[in-house]
Amino acid sequence: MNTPLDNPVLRVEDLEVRYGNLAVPAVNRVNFEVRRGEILGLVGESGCGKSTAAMSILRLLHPPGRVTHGRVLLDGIDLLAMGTREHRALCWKTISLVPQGAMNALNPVLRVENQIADAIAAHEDTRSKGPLTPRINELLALVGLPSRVRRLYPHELSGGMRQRVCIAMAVALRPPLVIADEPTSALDVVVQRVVAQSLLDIKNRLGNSMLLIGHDMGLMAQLADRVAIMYAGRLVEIAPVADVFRAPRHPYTRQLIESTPTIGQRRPLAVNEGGPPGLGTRTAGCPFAPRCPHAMPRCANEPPAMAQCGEDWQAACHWSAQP
Amino acid sequence: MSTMRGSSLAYLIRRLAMFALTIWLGLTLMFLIPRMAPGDPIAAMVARISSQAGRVENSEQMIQAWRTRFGLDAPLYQQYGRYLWNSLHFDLGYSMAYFPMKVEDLVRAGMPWTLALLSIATVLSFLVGSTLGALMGWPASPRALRLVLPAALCFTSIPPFMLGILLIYVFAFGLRWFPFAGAYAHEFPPGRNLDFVFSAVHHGILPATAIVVTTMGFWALGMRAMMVTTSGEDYMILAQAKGLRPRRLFWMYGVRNAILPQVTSLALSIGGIAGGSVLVEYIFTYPGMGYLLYQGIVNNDYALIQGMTSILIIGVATAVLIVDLAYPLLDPRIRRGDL
Amino acid sequence: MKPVGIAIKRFVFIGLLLSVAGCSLHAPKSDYDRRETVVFDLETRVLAPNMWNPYVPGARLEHGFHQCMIEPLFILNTETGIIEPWLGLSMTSNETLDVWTLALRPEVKWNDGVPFTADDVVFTINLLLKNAPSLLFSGPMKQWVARAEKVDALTVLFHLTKPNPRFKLDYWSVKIANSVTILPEHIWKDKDPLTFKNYEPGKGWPVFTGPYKLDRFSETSFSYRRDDGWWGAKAGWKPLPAPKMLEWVWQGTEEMRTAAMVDGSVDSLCDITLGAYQALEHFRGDVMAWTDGPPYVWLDPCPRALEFNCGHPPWDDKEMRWAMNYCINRDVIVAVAYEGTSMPSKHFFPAYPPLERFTRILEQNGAYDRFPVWEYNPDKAREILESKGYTRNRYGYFEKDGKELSVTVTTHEAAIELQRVAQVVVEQLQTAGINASHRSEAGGTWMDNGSLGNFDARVGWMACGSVSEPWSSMDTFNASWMMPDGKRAQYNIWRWKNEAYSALVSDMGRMPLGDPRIDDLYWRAMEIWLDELPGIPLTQARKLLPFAQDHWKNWPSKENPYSHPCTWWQSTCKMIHEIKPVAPDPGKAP
Ligand SMILES: Nc1ncnc2c1ncn2[C@@H]1O[C@H](COP(=O)(O)OP(=O)(O)OP(=O)(O)O)[C@@H](O)[C@H]1O
Ligand SMILES: [Mg+2]
Repeated sequence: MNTPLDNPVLRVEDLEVRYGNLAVPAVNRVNFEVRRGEILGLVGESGCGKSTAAMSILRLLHPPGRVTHGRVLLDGIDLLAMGTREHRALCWKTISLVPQGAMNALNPVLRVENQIADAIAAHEDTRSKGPLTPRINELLALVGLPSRVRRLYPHELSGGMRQRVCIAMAVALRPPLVIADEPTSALDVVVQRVVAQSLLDIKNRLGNSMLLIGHDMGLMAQLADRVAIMYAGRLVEIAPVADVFRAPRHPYTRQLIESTPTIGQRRPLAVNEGGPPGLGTRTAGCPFAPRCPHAMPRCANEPPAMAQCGEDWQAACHWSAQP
Repeated sequence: MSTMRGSSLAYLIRRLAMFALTIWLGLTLMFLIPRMAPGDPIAAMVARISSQAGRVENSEQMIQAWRTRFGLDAPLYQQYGRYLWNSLHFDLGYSMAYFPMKVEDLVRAGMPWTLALLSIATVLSFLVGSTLGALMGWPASPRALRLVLPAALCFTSIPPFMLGILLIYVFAFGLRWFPFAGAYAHEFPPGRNLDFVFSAVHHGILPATAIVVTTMGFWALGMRAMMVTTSGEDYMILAQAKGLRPRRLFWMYGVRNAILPQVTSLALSIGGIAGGSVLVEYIFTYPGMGYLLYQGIVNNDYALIQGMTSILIIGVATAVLIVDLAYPLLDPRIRRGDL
Repeated sequence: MKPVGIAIKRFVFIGLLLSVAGCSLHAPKSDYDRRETVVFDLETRVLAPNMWNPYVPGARLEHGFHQCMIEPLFILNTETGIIEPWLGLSMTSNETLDVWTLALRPEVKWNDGVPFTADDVVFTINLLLKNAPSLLFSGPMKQWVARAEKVDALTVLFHLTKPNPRFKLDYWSVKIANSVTILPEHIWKDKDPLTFKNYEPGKGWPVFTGPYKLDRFSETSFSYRRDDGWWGAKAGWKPLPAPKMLEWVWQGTEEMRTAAMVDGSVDSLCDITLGAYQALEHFRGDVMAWTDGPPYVWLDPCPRALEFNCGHPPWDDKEMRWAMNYCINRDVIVAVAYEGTSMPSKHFFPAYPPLERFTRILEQNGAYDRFPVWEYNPDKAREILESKGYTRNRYGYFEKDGKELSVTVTTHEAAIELQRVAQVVVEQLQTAGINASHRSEAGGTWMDNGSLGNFDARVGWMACGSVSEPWSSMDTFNASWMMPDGKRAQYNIWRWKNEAYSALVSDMGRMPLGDPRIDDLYWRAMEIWLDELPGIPLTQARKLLPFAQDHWKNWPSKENPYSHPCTWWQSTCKMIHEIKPVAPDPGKAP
């Protein structure tokens, strides 16, 4: 399934994002790539910078947020260095977004069909390509929605339907990469599954790559090919999902996996008390150190770097890097 | 679906009932208020007649005669009944101060001017003000624009009276671009010809400008606040991600949502038209109905006051009804009996 | 597609600009020639502009209607006291003053060519009698005229219900503002005079005898075109008036009216303030007013006064009223409220030459030594008040039995001039220790409160009526008009009851005008009035009426008093025959 490493869809290099003049970047020198046809999960607890990273890739950061360092390469072209117009012409065609919190993601005064058509019309000369209706119907069918949904307004849809409309909209132009920011977090468990399934089906049918953001390791296990674990703005581990579940290298990853509820049994949250450091306080060493069961003196002073720890497996941890 | 249709019918019925209630209440108030105000209209009318007719020694008889003619010697409930009945038939009766002019004829003379001037000015003010406000509240507006626009709103703090005089001195007496008074040139009496239309437009520009400039700030401020809110909404971010053209983003995603509360205010502001026009009409010697209403009040001319206010009441109630019924077209969330 | 869209937008934009520019460059193209037109000022808008029935309550007359279309039978010259004949030749009464004979000018024609005859006069009187009291003038006609009788085509006899020496003066001579209008019988015969609008351009209506015909009008401006077939010119009575067109235009606020005169678009203005007049003089040297220098003003026939309800204590006491009079400094009122453009008044008569004789009678009898109306003397006021048991309280106000001496002075909301006067008066009363205050009331309310006696004091135009003889004003104090508070009084709204005065005035009223016995009765009545002082005369009523002289000259003035200068009166009928163009031949210029 994996395509050669040297030809990823998206490569994020040394991305650093800051909000205003805060001491610590919200996204701190992050490197990862999304390969062709894969689903890369980006996991981390709330506030760790997942959305910020995604928005930077999409160039949707609003002030005071700004990219202070790094590149976002799409097929080798730096998206961040492009002109506004150029980028606008390119954006939905190359990278689309399934937003977090789909409840408000649709314009309340436009019909579903108009909102999908908008996306298409912004990038294609729609007059030459004939009526859009069949295309929209097809897109809706793709996410399992009946064609009458086309004529409805957002408030007439359930949360799950809305999210699926968003998914249909995201793939309207067959972009090579879809970023789905917690596409299921606002939904109940049953609907979560339906939406997750649509995502997977679509990916399988259209062959696009996907950056799937979430904090639910269970969902990741179900959907993702690889996962990248984020903590306090940094990547701490990135590896194929099966490997990570089998033997997580970073203590934080382990805690995340252990805290994942599995059907039928409830386990107490395995992540330690306390939370990640805020963006206002600079930490000298590993940001996870204060909560880490394996913290060593070294951890408090020296920030660990990402290091190869297996085939296609990287982690940033002094403890796991020990022989 | 059938329940949806049922609820929208219920909505319609409820709105229509409100409409009828508003009109009845308004008409009743307009029956009572002039009658509670001090000053007898017939006495005032007779006093005016007497002052024009040399020495008059028997004005008490005149007062009686006119009181009978206007039915003011009937018991109050009878007057009220007749008044409601006539109002429903749009029979506004005779003016007291301008007898034998019918209220209808008086109103018909002034109404087109006021309606044309004020509705155009109000709509322009709404459009210009809302657009300015939208640009001010839109994060992607050029910075220069966002600095300049608030300056344009300074005029809002000038009273229309002052601005009117200023405009007249600068553009009518100074530059002589526009006439300083009236609604059309004396040489071109109303008619279906281009001369008249040009002359009417030409005369209308200054008063309309005075109204637009002094009222648009109200719309601009409301719109700016709404626009700031709207531009932070999730759908706006998604729309940006879709790579929509800024213009479409601005109008269909920004303005289209931010304008909704403004529309309600617009319907209500229609009521202010006649009242608000008095001063502007006075300064520009514009032959509208603000003056008529003012005269009606000064003379305590029940028939004229009632006639004009009932037109206003019906007008505003209709405007509110139309907005209420049309609002669902603007805001689909209200469409199916969500209320 | 795009370039086309932009092109269309540009086109529309340029089109808009052009149309605006086109509008402003649009020169009026019509036969209208400013040099042949006299433009008068119209003080208010005419809300029923197509109403040309002069008798209905909604009728307006002063927008040119009775100045250039309706002609009166006679015109009183308030400067000379002479009643000049117009459509009438003479009107005389019998010994007993109850039959009046009217002789009409033989050559008069309606502007449709039909002769103007005794039938029209009789028809008009009968119409008024039949529709009394609803029509204008129908009340007084009903009261006075038993029957109008045609003697021949040019002679009418009026049989009165009781003697009236002022029948001609009061109703047929433009004593104040207007007079009874004679209607053409052939037009009005079968019309309902209460609803007939008398306007039908196709038929040439309205039909009257004046030298101008209605041309076009709107609510704010009225044009009249000279009728070159006017009867007076044809008969050689008077040449055609010089102006081809007359216009009455509403100009709006005083600033706008003044600016219009600066602009040269109006020839005459109704009353303006001194400041506005000075601005006019500054911008154009050729404006003129009634007098060359200050006070510039012509006096309106209704002097201003501080009026009391003489039935309300403590103002029922003449000494209290005199005390108030001593508190008032009229020179200050003239200086402050009028900026010097008026003069103090010692009585309730206008200072017109025909009435000067009556003022002299008062002076010759030493009236003002005994009754020093003009004396400003707060000490005397204090003496009177103290003799009445008033003492100053700790706020400096006079007080009696724990009750402060206070008075509220009301004014008519629309009368700015009177409000200013009231403010000065209130200040003067305050200084003298009387807790006075001023309240302006809506016009109708103020009038109502007046006739119902619902006031303590007001600044009004007391006793308006006399112009060339004293009785009309004096009779307004007649006790026969007395009504209790709450009942509408026709005259004597001050509720001043003095039987001796009333008897004298009633006697006076029965005498023919100019009867030598009047002087004595007058003096005896005025002696009582001055002693009692039911109202406090303040100032003369002023009107500052500027005329521009760049297009038209020979406007009336104190030096050239062929008429009074108020252009809204029917006497303007005469003025339009007298004014002459400044340019030698206005018609010939290209
Ligand atoms: N507009 C902003 N101004 C300042 N700080 C911000 C702003 N938006 C986000 N942040 C901060 O940036 C950090 C990352 O936020 P982000 O929304 O990317 O987190 P996330 O991982 O997407 O969380 P969640 O799972 O709750 O969506 C947080 O600490 C947050 O407080
Ligand atoms: Mg997030």
